[in-house]
Amino acid sequence: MKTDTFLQAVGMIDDRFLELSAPKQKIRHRRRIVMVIAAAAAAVMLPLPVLTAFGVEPAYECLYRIAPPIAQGFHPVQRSCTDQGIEMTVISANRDGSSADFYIAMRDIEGKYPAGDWDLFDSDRINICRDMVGTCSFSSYDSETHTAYFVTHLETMDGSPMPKRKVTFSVSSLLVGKNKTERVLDEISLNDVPYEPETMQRTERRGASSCEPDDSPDPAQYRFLIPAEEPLCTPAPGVRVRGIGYLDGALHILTEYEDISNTDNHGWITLRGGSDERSVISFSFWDDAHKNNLDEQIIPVAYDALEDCSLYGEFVTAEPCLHGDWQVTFPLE
Amino acid sequence: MDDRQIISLFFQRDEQALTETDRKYHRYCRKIAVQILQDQEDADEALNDTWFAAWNSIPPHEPAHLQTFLGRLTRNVSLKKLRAHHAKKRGDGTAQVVLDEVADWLRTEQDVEADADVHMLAEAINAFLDRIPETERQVFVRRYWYFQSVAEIAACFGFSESKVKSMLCRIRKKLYAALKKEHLL
Repeated sequence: MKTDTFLQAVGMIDDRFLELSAPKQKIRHRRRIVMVIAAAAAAVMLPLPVLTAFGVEPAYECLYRIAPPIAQGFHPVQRSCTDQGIEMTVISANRDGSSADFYIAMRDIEGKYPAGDWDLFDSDRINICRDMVGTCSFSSYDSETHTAYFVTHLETMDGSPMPKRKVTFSVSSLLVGKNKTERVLDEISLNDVPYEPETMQRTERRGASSCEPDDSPDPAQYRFLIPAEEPLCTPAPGVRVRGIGYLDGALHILTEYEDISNTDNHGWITLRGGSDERSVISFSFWDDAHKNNLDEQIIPVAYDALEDCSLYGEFVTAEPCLHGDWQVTFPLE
Repeated sequence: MDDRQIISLFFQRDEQALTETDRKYHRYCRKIAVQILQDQEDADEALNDTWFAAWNSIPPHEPAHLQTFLGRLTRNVSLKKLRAHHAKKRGDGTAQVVLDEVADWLRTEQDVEADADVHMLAEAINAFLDRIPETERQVFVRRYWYFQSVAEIAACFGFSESKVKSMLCRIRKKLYAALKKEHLL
C-alpha cells in the first residue's frame, strides 16, 4: 500500500471521529429540498422527483428543458436493482474534467417505510479503478413516490481527467424515516432545578466535546448525574431526558439516545435566554448494555439566571437501519 | 450565522457565503493547513484554494456537516500542495515526518505497487477506530488526520512525548494486524 492511499483513506474516516478532536456542533443539519430552492440548485434538484416517476427518457428531457447546460453534460443511465422492497436506480451521470456526479434514487416500492430523510449510514461504496475521493449526500425525499434522492460526487486525487470507466455503486445499510425534531422542552421547569443532586463518577467516556477545537475534557474532573428511573420527558422518539441538576457552577442535563448503532439518534439541547454565548462541554457514555448513548451536557450558568431561561432541543431520530444488498454497475461516459 | 444559512448563500451563488465561511471557519481550517504545510503563506494560499473548492462544490453538494466538509477540503488541498513541494524539495515539517512515519510503517515485504481500494481501507479504518479506546482514537486522529506533532498531542493529553510515541507505535501495530486480517495489506 502506498502512503498516499493510506492518508487518503484516513481523510475519509467518519465525521464522528473528527468531532472528538474538533467539536463545534453535534446536530448534522440536513435541509429538505424545499428549503434550498435557489437558482441553479433548483434546476438540478427539483426535477429529481419527476425523473423516475415517468421513466428516464422523459426525465432526461425534463432536465434538459429546465437546465440545458447541465442536461447536456449528463447522460441517462437507469440501471437498477431491488432488495428489501427498495429499488435503487442510478438515474443519470455526468463526467466533467477531473470530477463526475451521478444521481441515485432509492424507492420504497410498497410505501411501507415511514416518511422522512434517508441516510446511507456510511455504507455506500464506490468501486472504480483509480485513486479518487468521493462523497454521497442525501438530496431530498419525495413522499408521493416514496423515493429518496442522493447525489454522488467523485474527483480524481491528482486532478487528472476523470476516465471513462465502469463504476460500481453499492449500499449495504439504510436509515429510513429520519426526522428532525426541534422544540422547547417545556415539560422541564428551570425554576426548581435540583441544586447539588446526588452524583456519580464516570471514567469510561464514549466521547467528549467542548467549544475549543483542541480541548479534550477529562471526565475525572467532573461529577455526573445519576440517571433517573423515569425519564423527565421524551422530546422525540428514542430520546429521553434522564436527569437535570445544578453542580459546580453549571447546569447538567442528561439525555439518553436509544440504540445509536442502529439509529444514529443524536441531538443537542441549548439553554435559551440571557447570554447566548456559552461554552458547553458534553460527555457521552454507553449505558450498561452498551446500546444506548447517555449524553451529559454541562452548561456554565449562574443558578439564579436559570429562571429566565428555557431549554430548547434539536434531535435527529430514525427507524432502526435496514440491511440489504443494493449494487449497480454503470458506465461513466 | 449558522451553517444552514451559509450553505443557503452558497446555493444562491451569493459571494457573502465565502465571507461568512472565512469568518466562521478561518481559524479551524487554517490550523489544519499550517499543520500540514508548516508555512504561513502556503497556508493562506491553501485556505483560498479551499474556499474556491467549496464554492465549486456547493451546489450540487449539500454538506451534512459544514465544518468537517471544509476541514476535509483543507486537508486535501494542503496535502496536494505538500506533494507538489515535495516533488521540488524535500520538506522537514511535521507533515513530512508523518509521511515518513507512515512510509516506514508500510515498508514491508508486501508488493508496494499493489494498492488497496481506498474505500475499503477507509471502511476498515472506521471499524478499527470504533474498536480501540477513545484516547488512542483521538491520538490517531490528531496525528494522521490533523497532522499534529507528537509534542502537541502530548501537551493536549498531559502525556510525555515518549508515551505518545509508544502509543502511536502500538496503534500502528494493531492497525497493521487489522488491515492484514482484512487482506488490505
